[in-house]
Amino acid sequence: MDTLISKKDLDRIIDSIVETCQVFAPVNQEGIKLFQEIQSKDQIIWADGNCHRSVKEIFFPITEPIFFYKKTRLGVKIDPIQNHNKKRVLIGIRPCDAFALYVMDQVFTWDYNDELYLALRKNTVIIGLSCVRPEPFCFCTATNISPFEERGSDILLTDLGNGMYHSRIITEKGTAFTERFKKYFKEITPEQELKKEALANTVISKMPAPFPIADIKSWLDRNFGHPIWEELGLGCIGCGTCTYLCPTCHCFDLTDENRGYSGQRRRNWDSCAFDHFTKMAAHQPRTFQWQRFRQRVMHKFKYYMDKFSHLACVGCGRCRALCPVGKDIYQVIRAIQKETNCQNQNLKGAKKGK
Amino acid sequence: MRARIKVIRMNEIKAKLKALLKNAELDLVIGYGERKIPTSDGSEITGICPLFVTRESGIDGLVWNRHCVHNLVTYLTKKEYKDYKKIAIFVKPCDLKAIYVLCQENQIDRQRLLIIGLACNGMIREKMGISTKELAGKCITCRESSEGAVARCQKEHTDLMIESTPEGSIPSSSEKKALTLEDLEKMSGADRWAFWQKQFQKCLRCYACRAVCPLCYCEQCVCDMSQPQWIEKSPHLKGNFLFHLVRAFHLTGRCIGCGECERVCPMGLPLTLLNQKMIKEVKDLYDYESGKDPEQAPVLSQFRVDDDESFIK
Repeated sequence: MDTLISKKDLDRIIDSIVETCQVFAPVNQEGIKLFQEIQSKDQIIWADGNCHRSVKEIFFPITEPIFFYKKTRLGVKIDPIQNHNKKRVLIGIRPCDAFALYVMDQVFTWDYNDELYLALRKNTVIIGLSCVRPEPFCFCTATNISPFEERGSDILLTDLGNGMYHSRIITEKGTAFTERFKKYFKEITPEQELKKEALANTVISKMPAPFPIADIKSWLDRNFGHPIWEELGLGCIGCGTCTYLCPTCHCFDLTDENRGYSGQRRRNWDSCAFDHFTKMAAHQPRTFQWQRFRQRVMHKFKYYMDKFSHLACVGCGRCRALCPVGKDIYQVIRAIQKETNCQNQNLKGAKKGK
Repeated sequence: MRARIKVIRMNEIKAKLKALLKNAELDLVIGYGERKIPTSDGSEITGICPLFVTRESGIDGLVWNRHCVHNLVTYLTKKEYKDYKKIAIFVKPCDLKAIYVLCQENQIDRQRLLIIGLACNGMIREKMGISTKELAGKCITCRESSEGAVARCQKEHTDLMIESTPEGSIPSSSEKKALTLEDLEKMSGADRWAFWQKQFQKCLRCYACRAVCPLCYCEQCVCDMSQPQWIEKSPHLKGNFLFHLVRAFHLTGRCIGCGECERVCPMGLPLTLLNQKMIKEVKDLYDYESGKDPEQAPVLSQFRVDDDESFIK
């Protein structure tokens, strides 16, 4: 359902919800933009641009205890973590980040329902904000989502200028949320609907063309051992910047922090770029950094496709912008696209030759 | 190979490198190359990234300009580049110091290297992948140059040299003055503690600082160990404090102040402040500056009979 809401009314809603739920929004934290819990509407940065760190940490924290343990004479006593049950609202999340949650849901409900993650997901209403001015490194359109993507958000706001927001309610959660604030959501005129459509079309028309995903997937299926990987991964220094800023990278490590006879088990983010990620007692299957670099590309564009039928890259551009040595997943995929074109032409040529 | 010829222009260097590659006197060139970055609005911006050349045809891609901030020395100790017998490497004066320390610590064989020294008077800062007009953070704290001064590589330790500084005007210092070591030292202990708490709270433990550091070459880092776990692997405040302080200690008397750790930190932590403090302590205590001379013994692993022993009671 589409409605119209003014910035002032939006502020009123935020002021009202901060009293009853945990509200998260982009704020300025020591010079960088991060998603943090806010106490007042004034803290929010509405201006364009994504947060430095993706929103995944609100659902899948960078470090969290899973349980506490204590060794006693009678055995080991385990105290599990209580599931989160506070109501939470996320405001100003960009469509790529919101869609990334949809992507992560697949893996966290696949072979095991990750209770910690799902409890947080269930309790959170997501209010997205369309990108009317994408940043230089954005390429969401290439991964087949758009700066106005709806999947992942419960409500999607679009800034129409003049202090008015187009608001589209997408899920039942979104409807339930707006129920309380019905009076602020005004009826929308057909002109304003058209204005939003026009805005979306203008923004999207300038953005990069979609990757030929099927071709790329089929090339990846056949070319795990292609010499191009060594070239593409050259220069990667093996830090975790790309994976830790990525809104869909979800690998984690479990570690015990022990103090005498008690302690806690924690879940921490981990990265396939690290050499110890695959290091086992007897073997290291990924000896060189380019193999780890390949893993990240493969995971996003092949393995995730195999399992869940969509990409695990949403084109937020964080890894491109902040890689210490200028490694660029967008250009890697374009390079593979070139390879696929060459191979296709060769195939055609071979057929003609017959 | 170590002819120590002074060469001024990039073209001459390129010709020389081509000849060496052709005659198989050289296996790899690590330098800077341009990359075109397509942006979301269809335009293109130009960036600089490390360039690895093994064939003659690749040499023309080498560039030297104000965006060549990376310290390429970090690659010399990485596994992927250890098999090359002869490596040519482009180094700025700050980067060259890292080679000195690696030589002192027997991590690289100087005979394997063809060092191409560059003259530098400041690189440009990049913000979120886009170049600004400001001076890079690492150049503000550069020990060699006050603003505008030209830092040069020591001739006797380079094989080839480009004596001219990159074209274009020297970038200006940031409008917003960054916190200096003096500011930090003036703070009360409590304030300083609060400052670092705020900073380390942001740390992701992506280990970009460690990965990019030319002197963090340990194959097994103490921070990755889990049996026993000396340093909490969890990126909570305590674990982050431990990691950064242990890293600062391990770099004491070794850090050459190239500032790469601060440049690459995706969370913008002012990591060079820690290292600068240790550089200062070492200078005050032992009158030693790391990376000054490849022949000198590393300060914390040498013993002298006249060392101060008054602290032993």
